[in-house]
Amino acid sequence: MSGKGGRIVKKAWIGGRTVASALVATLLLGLVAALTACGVPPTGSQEAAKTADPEAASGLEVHGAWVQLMPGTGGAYLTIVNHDATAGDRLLRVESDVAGAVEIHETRDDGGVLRMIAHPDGVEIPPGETVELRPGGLHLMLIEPKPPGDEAGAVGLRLYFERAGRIDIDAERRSPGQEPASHEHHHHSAEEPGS
Amino acid sequence: MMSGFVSRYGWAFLGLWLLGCQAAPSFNGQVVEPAAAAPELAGTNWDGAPFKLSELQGKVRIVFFGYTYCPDICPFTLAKMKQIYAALGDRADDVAMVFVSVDPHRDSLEKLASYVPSFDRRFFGLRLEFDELDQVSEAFDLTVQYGQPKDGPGTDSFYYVDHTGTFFLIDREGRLRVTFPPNATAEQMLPDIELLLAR
Repeated sequence: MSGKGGRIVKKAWIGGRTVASALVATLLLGLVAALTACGVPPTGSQEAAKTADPEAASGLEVHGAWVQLMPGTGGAYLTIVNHDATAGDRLLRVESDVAGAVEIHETRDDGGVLRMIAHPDGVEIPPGETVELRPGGLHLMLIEPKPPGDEAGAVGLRLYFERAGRIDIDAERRSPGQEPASHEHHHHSAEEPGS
Repeated sequence: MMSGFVSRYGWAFLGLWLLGCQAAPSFNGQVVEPAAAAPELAGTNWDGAPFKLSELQGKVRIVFFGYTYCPDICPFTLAKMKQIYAALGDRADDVAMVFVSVDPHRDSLEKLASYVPSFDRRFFGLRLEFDELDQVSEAFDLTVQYGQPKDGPGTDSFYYVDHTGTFFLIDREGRLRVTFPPNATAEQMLPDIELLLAR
């Protein structure tokens, strides 16, 4: 850097004309305004919640949601993909009209002892990664759901993310134990013993 | 010299041969050795009938533990048992599925009745009193740990129960023979059940 002082704009006072300098100033001001407006990514979760498609705005994609409802308890599972390679998010909490409360839990097999770990602070969704809530692992627990017999059809879940805000999804209702647990990597049918 | 050959390698061959003999029959699961009489397991079934494991003499018995408020693993465990029953067809008559609740406080007979038979009415779903459950836990070497109620101690709110998820396979003579870890599949367990049925 030279030691010269801030003579950035050349004097355009040539023969009393000020138009050129005004134009340059206007252009510069316009450029600064444009940079200020476009350069900062939306941070407000309220912004994302209000958009018609919060998933697209946030870079998060939620799919494959399903629930199993038993008397007194229920489990819900889904997949969250963070398409944003630079910004992470966090699933903070979940609500559902079919249950008084929904909590995020995780099953752990501790040498044959099955333990449940609560995640009161939610689950991190790292940039560019996929987080699966699936049987035998992370899952949503529905506390005191309405008796399964009362309703049919999909179950609505409201997911609240730290950055993305609220994303509403429909979870398919399945009979308990219908989907195999996470450790099983193959499809099976009851009519094929030993396959 | 010939004698040197035999003395050097003979022992190796003998050892390998003996090892080979030990291998039959081959189970997928963890073999219990020595096979001893399974601990007694007594309680009340979901339909109110008294239950004793030893009274199922002549049947292969699969014993496993859980609780009805378990939202994740237990439904899949019962579904696996359903798959096994379906694969066995008529031979299911000779195999008893015994689900034992580790949660006597919440798992009343009524609660068990709303849950277990919905998978298969032939499944046993047992309620034991706390002291009976203590004895069974010791006999089967189980871990059963109750979590704190989520709204605080003393509140009538949800609590989870950490528990051993092992499958215990008992033969027709009432001996504990094989165990499987909680994540074992129906396909993995079925051949062992068939081996036990065959004896």
